[in-house]
Amino acid sequence: MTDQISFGTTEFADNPEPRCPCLLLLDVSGSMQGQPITELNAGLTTFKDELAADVLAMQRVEVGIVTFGPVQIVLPFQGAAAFYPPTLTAQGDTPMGAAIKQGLDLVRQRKDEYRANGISYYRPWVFLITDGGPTDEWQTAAAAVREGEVSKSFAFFAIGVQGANMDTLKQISVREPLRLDGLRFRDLFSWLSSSLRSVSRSTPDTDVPLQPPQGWASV
Amino acid sequence: MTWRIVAASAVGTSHTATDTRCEDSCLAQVETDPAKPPLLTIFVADGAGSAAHGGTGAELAIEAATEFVGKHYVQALEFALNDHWAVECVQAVRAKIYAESAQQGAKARDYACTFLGVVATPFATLLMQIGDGGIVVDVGNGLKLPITPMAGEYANMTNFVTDENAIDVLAVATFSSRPEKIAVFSDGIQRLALNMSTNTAHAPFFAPFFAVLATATAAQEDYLQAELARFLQSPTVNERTDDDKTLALAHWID
Repeated sequence: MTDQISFGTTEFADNPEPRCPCLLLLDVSGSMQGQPITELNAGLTTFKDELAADVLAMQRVEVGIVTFGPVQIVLPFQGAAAFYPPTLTAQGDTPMGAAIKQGLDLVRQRKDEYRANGISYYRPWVFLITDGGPTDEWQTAAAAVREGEVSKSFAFFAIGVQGANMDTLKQISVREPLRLDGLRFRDLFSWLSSSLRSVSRSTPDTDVPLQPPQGWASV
Repeated sequence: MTWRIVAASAVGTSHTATDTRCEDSCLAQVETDPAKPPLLTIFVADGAGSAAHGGTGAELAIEAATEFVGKHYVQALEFALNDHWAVECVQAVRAKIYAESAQQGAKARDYACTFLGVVATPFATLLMQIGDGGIVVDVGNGLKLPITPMAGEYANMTNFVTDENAIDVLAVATFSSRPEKIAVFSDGIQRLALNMSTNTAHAPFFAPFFAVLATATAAQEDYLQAELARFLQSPTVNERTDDDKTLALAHWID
């Protein structure tokens, strides 16, 4: 019996981690002024903190932020490790249609970059949060969302804060829009980070079972 | 004149965290009837995380493939190990899973798993694969990855032996020489052992395993199995993958 055999290796292939892109489409129109925008900013900090607590999520989750209005790419896609939540201020109207189009473009570009660099990736998530209704043409954006859901190009979620036009959100989002209870942005982002953590560690599957949104939303 | 073999599976840390069992299954063996040439068989199956009984599906797949080889041992030696043989083997696997799911009143999809198989004689090698994971082999011209691991657009998608189109997506590779070295592994090991951008074997990963197997004795195989299991559960591996992982290796000994 030779117990001295050393079996195994420390020579691992150096492959990039698969990426899990998450785009936030955030309403920063005038009506978000005051407590809502403060709570939204606090929610983003929670989001960062909870992702940071998970080593694999830090390596795999990528965050991008588009705000409206006006439509602005506040944060192009970047790894969770490099994601420092911005402090958003409320102003302007609600060009939701243009923001969705801009956001979906970003997602498409990011996928192209992954492919060009041989990086595997999970289905992107697009997360729309609004307290109003679109002040611009949104039907084209709604059609693009429907098409993307059918072709499984991304998963689109809509969250309505008090005052949101839920009827329009229903026409934009294929999935049932959720209504945020009060200003529980922190619970919302806590759920989002834990959901992204499940996705970023999912093994070959077709669908990742998500925890029901608890404590922050109603349909 | 045989192969020295070792194989082990270990539960991934993400499964440990949620208290689910290892859904990988594997078997490596060499038939050594003194009247016949040795026959090497290695099977690896990875139960789909999204399937309620993926782990059971993986076990059934290994059982069915092993039974198939048992029945067709003579045929494997006397006839070519070819595409037709691979298709029949996968059909046997599918038949077993479909029969079990029907008996349980479940859908075959609930037993979804990948399937990787190696059947080799001293004169021929057959590789077959449905889904991800990989088979790295040296049939005399260096370590190669003849079959590209199957993936969908997204990182968490692949093909399963239970899919309707399984026979269509089945990838087969045959060689008219024996495998000097061969390794079969599930997707939990894939990113550690392959260069994913080029779909090539990362040779330094395998070198120490094959070096040990080349000089190991038959009496050491149990010890090697325990060592491999220890390696698969080591922190250096768990830092790089949280998925279930299986690694089976064989080395020809003159």
